[in-house]
Amino acid sequence: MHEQRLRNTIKLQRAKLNLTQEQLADRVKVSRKTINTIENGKFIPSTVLALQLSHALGVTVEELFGLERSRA
Amino acid sequence: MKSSPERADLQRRLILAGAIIGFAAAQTAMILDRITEPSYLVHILLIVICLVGWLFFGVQLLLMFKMENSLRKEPDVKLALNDEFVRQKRGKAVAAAFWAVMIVQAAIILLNLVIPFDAGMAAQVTLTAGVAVVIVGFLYYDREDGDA
Repeated sequence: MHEQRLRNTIKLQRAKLNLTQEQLADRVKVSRKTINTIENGKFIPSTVLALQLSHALGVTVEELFGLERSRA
Repeated sequence: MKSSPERADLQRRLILAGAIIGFAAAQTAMILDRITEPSYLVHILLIVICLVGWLFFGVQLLLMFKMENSLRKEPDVKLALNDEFVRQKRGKAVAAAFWAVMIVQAAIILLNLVIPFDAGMAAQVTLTAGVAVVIVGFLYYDREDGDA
């Protein structure tokens, strides 16, 4: 059976802008732990936070987040 | 050097850890005093532990109010300390405390069949379990590699 997982490119986009997790957290006014858990796929952000992250990183939400299929 | 939200987060964790230590010490001493019928000396010792525990808990509460007050001047730090991930962890800690209270209540009802429990004692044990689990639960979920 297949299940859909949310993947993200936050780490990649951060690297492009040479931003640390802390700096990105400051830009979107969340804690560094929150950025870390989103990057690791442990926490799925709200639509509002996803939009704030995409604005802070200068990419679209679709570039930042997407669904990937994996076997359950 | 750590950023301000990082420092504030660490400070909050330390205050909560201090609060649970003081609260647990005070409550444990009170409960032991009620159930063990201690000698006069042990009774006095338990009262002293209880008072020190409450004093320590009170100091942590004052530190929390002071921190809350100082964060009014730093709204960005305050927002970061109460972001949606923190709110989710707080919700999970409250849910864990709810189940802890349910389990303790069920245990008291069962134990009451063999050991008589007075209402005051039952309330105190339930309150202790609820407060302890909500604070320890938040500290657990809020650790560095905590799951969502």
